[in-house]
Amino acid sequence: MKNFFKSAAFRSLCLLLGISLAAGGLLAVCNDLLYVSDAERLDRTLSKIYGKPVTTTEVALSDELKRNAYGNVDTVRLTADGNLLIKTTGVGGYNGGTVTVWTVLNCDLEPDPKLNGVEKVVYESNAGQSFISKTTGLYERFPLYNDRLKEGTLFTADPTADGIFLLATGASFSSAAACNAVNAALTYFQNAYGSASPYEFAEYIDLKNSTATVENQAVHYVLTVRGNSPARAFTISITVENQVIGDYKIEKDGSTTEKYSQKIPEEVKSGALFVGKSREQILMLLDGGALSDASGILNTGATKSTESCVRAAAFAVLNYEKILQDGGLL
Amino acid sequence: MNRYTKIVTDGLIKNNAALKMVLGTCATLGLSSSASGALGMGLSVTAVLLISNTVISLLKRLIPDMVRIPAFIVLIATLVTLLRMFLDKFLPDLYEAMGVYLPLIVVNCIILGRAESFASKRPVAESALDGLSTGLGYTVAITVMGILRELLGSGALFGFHITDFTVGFFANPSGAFMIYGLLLGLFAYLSDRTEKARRKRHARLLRTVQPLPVDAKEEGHV
Repeated sequence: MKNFFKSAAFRSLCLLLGISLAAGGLLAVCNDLLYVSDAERLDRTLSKIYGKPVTTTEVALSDELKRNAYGNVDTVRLTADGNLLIKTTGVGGYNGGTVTVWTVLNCDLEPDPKLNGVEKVVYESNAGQSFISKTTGLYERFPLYNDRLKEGTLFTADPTADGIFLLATGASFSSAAACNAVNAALTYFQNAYGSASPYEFAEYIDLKNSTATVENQAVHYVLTVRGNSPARAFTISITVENQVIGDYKIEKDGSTTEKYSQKIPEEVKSGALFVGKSREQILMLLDGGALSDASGILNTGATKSTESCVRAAAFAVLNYEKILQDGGLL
Repeated sequence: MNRYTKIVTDGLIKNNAALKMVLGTCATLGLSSSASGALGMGLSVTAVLLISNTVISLLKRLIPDMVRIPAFIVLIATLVTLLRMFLDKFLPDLYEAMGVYLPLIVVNCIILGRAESFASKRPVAESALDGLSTGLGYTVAITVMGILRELLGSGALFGFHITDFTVGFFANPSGAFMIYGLLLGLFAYLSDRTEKARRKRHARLLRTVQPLPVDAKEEGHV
């Protein structure tokens, strides 16, 4: 025993322990001295956005408002001047990645909520976007289109889709995700403060470019499904009769390429998956607005295109009674 | 050349960590997509190298040989953690830009290599100078790479837009390998030329020294 305490092994052990304790003590002290609180981190972000510290208050987010067709709403803050500062993560980037931005929405919340436009968009971070540096100049261009935002138009990085076209050369996927991030903020405002749409699943359908005609107990739809990046807008004609889908046909396939178009399951392409189905059966295919592969045949490598097709079917069957009653789309 | 000058030239040029020894390649490739990120990484490595070399040189007599590597790693990890805290507090943009590569400095073989091969055997002043010069040599190499990649890949320099002409390939990891390979080749070529020129000068110098006459040798002048 005595020999052990005199051995080199014991000395080595003591030294390593001593170094570890000293290092641990030093780190503990420095951790206290150099601690960055959440409030300090928020102040840094606000200074980056406004160029100076500003006072904001957090707006509570319900689960329904945290997610929409364009991405996730991470944080919403109300600034002293009555504007909304929204941190959103837009989907549809390269390789399924995302872009996170802060959007300052110029709006009047009292007495009647009104969106005046996008005041500023500041890039925050990204996931898996190699060419994100090419989008540097993109964010300054969002506020230039506020007149069109009042018409309810959203941003797109797809020249063939409806919307305000904004693209950073050489970074089309990252541009799509950035556009979606801003769209997510605009959609949040619409969902939280706008007049609610009378239709279910309306956020996925471009109602201005869609029609619904009533004939006896049948409703014939020609629906334009909004772009579901990277998939573009789909045009689908659907007939619903007696609360079940009677006919389903894809008029315009918005798949990014022919390869993705071919990957849409045949049952979806032909409409066989939807024909004869009621609202409950169609809703089983979706989890919220996203594809839920309860049938086990939908995840075939063209998820976004398939999702758009299912959303159209869901809109048609869910709003059948209201449209029948109204005699068409309002 | 005195020993301090030799340490500086070795660290900066002759044994340049990135271009001659090909050490710390992971961070070199990963963080050289922008010049500012590369410069930040280089300076961070320099700071850790300088302090770790100094501390290890100070403790070299205390640390038993059999546990020197674990002891070095604990010391280096502590320094890197302190650096992370410092950057997060005072330079948050750089902290975010360096991302996962910042904690990876712990396993950067430049730092452990200099601790093992130099600082654990040499006096404090020499070890500190070695850390500084090796770090600065690495900083220059990674920054040059960052400048080339940012300019070619994004048409910018230190975040400022310079040109619309870009080749996206250079912003990718494959572009990093190509630029690194080209720089390694260029550095080897220039080192060879310099060495050859030095040898030629040396040989010329030897030829110009006239041999002493035979008579002089015989008379006992040599």
